[in-house]
Amino acid sequence: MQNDSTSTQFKFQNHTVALIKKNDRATLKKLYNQNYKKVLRYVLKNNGSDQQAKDIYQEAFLAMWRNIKEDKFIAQNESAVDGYLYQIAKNKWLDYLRSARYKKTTAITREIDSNEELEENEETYLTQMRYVTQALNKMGERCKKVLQQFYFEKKSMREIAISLDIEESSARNAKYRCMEKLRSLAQIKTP
Amino acid sequence: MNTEIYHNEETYTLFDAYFSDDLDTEEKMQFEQKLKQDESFNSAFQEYKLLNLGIQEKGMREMVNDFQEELETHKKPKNPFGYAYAIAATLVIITGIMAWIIFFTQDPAQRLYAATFKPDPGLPTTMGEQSNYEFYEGMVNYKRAEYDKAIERWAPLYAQSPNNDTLNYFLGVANLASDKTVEAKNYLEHSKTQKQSIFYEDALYYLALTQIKANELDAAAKTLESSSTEKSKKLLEKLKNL
Repeated sequence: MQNDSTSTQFKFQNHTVALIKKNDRATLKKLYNQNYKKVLRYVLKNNGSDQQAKDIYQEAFLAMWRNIKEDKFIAQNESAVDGYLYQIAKNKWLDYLRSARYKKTTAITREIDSNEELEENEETYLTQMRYVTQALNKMGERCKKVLQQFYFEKKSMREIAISLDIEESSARNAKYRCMEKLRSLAQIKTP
Repeated sequence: MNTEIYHNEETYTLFDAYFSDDLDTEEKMQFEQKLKQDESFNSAFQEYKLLNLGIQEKGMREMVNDFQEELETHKKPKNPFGYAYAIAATLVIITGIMAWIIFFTQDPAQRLYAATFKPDPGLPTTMGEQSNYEFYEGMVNYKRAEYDKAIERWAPLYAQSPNNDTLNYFLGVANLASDKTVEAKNYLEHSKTQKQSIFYEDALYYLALTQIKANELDAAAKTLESSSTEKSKKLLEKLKNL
């Protein structure tokens, strides 16, 4: 039998993490709102502007979301997600401060050692994501809608068929054709 | 790596199922085996995965921008007139409180008048006869609560036709509405003599209200006693209970 703490953790795993993985708007919005001010304060206190804080926070938020989706970060409870998000934002800001503009004049200690290989992988991944985004922008509204609803909003083919007023089999075929179109536009090459 | 043989609807459906963890244990095992053994299959899946993640990445970036925008919208007034609205709302509240205080510090007769008086709704203004033009223009003013303008238009007409019961009645009510109690009483007293007028009963009611406003409560009671309408009876009852 599980003790209380394990049971709470189990419950959290099954709810919040599952909802993050499903891109649930309400859950993500709550996380976004409850951590923004803390990051803003940190960046402002460390020579940053409002705009820089916003940019860093958004990148950190996306990194947190990606890592939870890919199980690279296993959150035990909600405050662990908050702490993780804050830590990523802080590291990203410190990395920025260590960039060419600052590194000659300021000594900055990063709390978590950077892993260059990981960062290189992240850079490659983000470049590929940019290609896909640019390709998506070139596509027609109908294709964008089908792909967005299926892959991001996690809607069923039945719901998508209803929203487009077509048969489910036609919606499935449309999704496939749109993916092929996206693939040719993005020109992604895997090793 | 040629991945073309795997770019078909069936394989994409299989990729979707694996990526969303919808395969059963057996199917999942077979899928993973194929990933290891078939380089083309693996490559096709890696391409699919990047596209899938790219679509989600775009959706997520848009969502996060929405969150930020909503956060900023909540912080600032929604438009440059936000403060003006706040000031206007404060003024409305203050005016309301003052009206409340004035209402309750009035003597009972004034309170009864204030709680009861509502100007006659007026006549329809769609008639277009030239001779009535000025009268109906005045009626437009009256309905817009521009009582002084209405009086200005009607007074010359009244001078020409002092026995016109309609003019007499509406001049009485318009004067009462603009707090000219003496003038109102003169017109409405005159209406009292026009017993054949369709405005006769209404004129009695407004005359009584004018008398209440002038603190002539006995006269008001007498006027109301001579009226048979329901609203006059109700007002008389309230007057007796003061």
